[in-house]
Amino acid sequence: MFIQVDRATKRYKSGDVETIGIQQATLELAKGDIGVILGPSGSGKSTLLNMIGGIDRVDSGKIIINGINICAMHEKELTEYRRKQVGFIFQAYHLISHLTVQENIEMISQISENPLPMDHVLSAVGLTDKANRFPRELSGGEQQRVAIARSVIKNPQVLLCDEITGALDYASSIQVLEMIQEINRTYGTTVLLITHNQAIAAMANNVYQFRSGEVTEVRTNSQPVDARGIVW
Amino acid sequence: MVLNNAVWRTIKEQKGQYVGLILIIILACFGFVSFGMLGTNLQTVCDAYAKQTVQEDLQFETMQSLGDLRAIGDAVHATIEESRSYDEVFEGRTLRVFSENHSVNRPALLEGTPLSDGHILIDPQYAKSNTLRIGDPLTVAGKHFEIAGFVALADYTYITKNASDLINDSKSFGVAVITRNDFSANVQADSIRYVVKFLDGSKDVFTQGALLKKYLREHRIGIDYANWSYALNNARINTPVLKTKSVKAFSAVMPIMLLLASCVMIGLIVRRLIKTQAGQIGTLYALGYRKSELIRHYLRYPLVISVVGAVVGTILGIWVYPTLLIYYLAYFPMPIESATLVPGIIAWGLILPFMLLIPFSFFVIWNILKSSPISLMRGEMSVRKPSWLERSLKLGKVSFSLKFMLREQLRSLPQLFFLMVAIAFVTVFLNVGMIIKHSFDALASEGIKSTFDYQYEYLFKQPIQSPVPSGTEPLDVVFVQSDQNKQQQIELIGIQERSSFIHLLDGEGNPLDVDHQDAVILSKSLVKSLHADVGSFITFTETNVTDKSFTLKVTAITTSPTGAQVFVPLATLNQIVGLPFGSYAVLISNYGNVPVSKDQRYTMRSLHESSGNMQNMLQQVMAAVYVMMFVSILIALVLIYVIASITVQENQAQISLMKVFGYRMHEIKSMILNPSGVGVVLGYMLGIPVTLYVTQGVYQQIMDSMNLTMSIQVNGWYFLVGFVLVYGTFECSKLMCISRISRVSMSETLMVGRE
Repeated sequence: MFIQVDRATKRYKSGDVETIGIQQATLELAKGDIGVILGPSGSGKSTLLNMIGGIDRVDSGKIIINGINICAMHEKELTEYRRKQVGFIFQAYHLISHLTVQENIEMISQISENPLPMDHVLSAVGLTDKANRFPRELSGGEQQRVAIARSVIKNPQVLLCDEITGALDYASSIQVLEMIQEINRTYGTTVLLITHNQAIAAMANNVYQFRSGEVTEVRTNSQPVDARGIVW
Repeated sequence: MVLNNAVWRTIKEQKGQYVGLILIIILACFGFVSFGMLGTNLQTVCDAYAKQTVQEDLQFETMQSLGDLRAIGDAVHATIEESRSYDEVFEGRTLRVFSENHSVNRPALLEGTPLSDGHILIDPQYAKSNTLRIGDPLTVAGKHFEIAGFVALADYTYITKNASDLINDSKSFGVAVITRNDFSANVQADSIRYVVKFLDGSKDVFTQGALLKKYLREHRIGIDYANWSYALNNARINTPVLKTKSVKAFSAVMPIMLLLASCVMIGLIVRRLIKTQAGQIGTLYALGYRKSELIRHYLRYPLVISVVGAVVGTILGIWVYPTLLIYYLAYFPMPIESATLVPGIIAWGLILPFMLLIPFSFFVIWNILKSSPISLMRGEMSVRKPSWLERSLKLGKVSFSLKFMLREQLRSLPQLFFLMVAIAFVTVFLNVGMIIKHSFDALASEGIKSTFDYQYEYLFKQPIQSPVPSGTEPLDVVFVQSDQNKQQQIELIGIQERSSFIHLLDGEGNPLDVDHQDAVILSKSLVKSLHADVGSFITFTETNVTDKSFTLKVTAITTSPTGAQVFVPLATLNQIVGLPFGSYAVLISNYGNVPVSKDQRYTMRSLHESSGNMQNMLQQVMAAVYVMMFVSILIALVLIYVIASITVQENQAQISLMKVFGYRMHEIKSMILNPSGVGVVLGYMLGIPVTLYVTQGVYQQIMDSMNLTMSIQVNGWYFLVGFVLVYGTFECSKLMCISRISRVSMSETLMVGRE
């Protein structure tokens, strides 16, 4: 398995109050597959994604990516892991407002060992003609496409997508999902996508149902559907 | 308001920034209060001293006694007193002993017992430098005296051996006073001086002085008087007054500049604070909070900073100013009963930060809170439109890091501008002292030396016509006033043609000579004060003896470092003042043993001694320069650190994102903090011409007060060292910010903006 999460637990403490982030969460995803984590708000989906992405640490349990336990890594190794293997896409885009579209993407290509060609990526996300625009001058869907391009340009082994359609209308959402699927197919990128939209689960190989920090159900789709066929 | 609980929490959280700002305000209030009270106290001390001692308006010397002083005084409405002096020289030291005055320039006892026969009072600087204590014996003219105490003499408030000396070495020269009985019984006076206090307050001293001279001439009393010197032109008397003025000016300008810098920084901090809390503010607005309530809340930040800064700074100022006063009075011995608190200055010290910070902060807060609750809640304030400059900048080929840095600077141009101005200000403060010190060095070691290329001056009591001894050159000096500037005392110097000892140069560095009888070479310092140039006609009046007026045509201007001087051939000068051909009153030479009659000689002056005094002065200047450098580096550190920490806070989201994307710590540090380096470099570059301009102005003022001419001498190394210091400070402030960057969480920031 490319991604293995083994009984990962994370608790947050604020004063005397302890909150459970995730509880004994376990999941597996094969290389080149798309996984969707479903669950209501506050169920711990993003916490798990952050741990798989190496931006947060588990209290107990293991997270093994491509055979390496990232929980045993120290800060510098985690930085290198994120730098070389992980691509992130967020619901809130997190684009840098004073950098142009191309510069936002360049922000990642310049630290990547083997980045994809800029023209190729810009064309893939349909933003070639808007390369010199600033994020403020783009629609929500376009901004999300910049965020996707930014994550994809480094050609990561794993792409982590956190509620990427949450702020988009239906048409833009489908466009973005199509793009994710295209990347997965073209580059063999393993994709883990979290959403509270049940319909999106149809495009995944594996679906993980999350509730109160635990994986309560795992489903496998033998025939994942095309993103353009998803309706909600 | 519960909201106000957040004030202390925020300040505690961002203590680095707030402590930095408080430090700047403390410095400003401290400077304002301590130097303000120092200036006022010095002024009070000078005024009280002038009154207590009946400080002279005028003094002059004669070869013979004037006779009935009361009659002369009654005729010209003045009190006139004879003052005799004698130089006791031993082991290279000179103690100038005066007879005790009773009407004008009364000695002021600083410590010890009043003067009586057999006792001597000496100046405290000389006593300290030569480890003399009250009760010690001292021999003057072969008679033993006991030191009864320390004294201040009104015409030697600034104690220099010669009236034209810039500074004194208290180890080698001091003043003392003995009773008139002791003086007449034991000492043969070197000179007879008359000190005059005019009583008619409705006329200026120059007019009254002219009337006195007229009276003396008309009545043919003591026609050989010399060194006619008004207190207003006498550096021994007016130096403390000039210093007081400069202290007062410093106490006003410097703190205000620091407070203005604080205003801008407070504005930046409050603006950033409101931006980060925009959502909360919008919600409070929507829930019914009034704008005035929110403004009052955010004004608490500058209020807290102002209260702490103003109170601590003012207390420090009150605590330190007596020490500063004692330090100053060590150079200008004057009696002082106690340092007086000046309520007005204390009140201003406490109020000033509020007066500047609160209105400025109010404007910033009010301007931001103009936005609607909805736009505040949506965070529209933080999403700003790219400026035309950002849009038009095409950065296709350059590296991403450079693009990022350029974009960062363009995004926050006001911040960049402020940083540049702040660094320029620090650059000026850092370098001005060093350049002035270097210029003085050059003036002392090369400038004056290369112009007046001799070691000794032999001054005669009267102009003589004796043959000139070999290895010497004759000259004469008369004091004149011009019609253009009657307050300025000018030296009209008659020198020998093709002088071996006086080398004057024009602006291009070509030698100038008084090679024809109409040659009139004007010093550069006079060009400005007399509004004259080559070809100008200037009418002078001889002020010492004759009050005769004459007009000279300027034939050349010298840029050599001379004083307020006009050079003419010696023969021409003799002709002007009506002296026989071949007369001279001064001999200049490199020999210290020129055979001149002791009866004719008034004094001998060593230029080497003056140069030594200048070196002593430079050492004192260096101490002040180092203090200035330390303070400027401290200010730079605080300013850069506050700006850097604001930058880190403003870029928290980007830092977090960079961490998530796998940027290494050193890459983040360099991308976020290095852009400010542009402001530091540009600010320093901007500061260089400003420094030169300010230094030229300050130096010119000093030169004017010393009646000297010489441009500032710039040493590029000082600017390089200054740059290393400023850039080093920038690197230090970056180091101080590293922990802030490390603390930026990846997951927390990424939560922002999620639905």
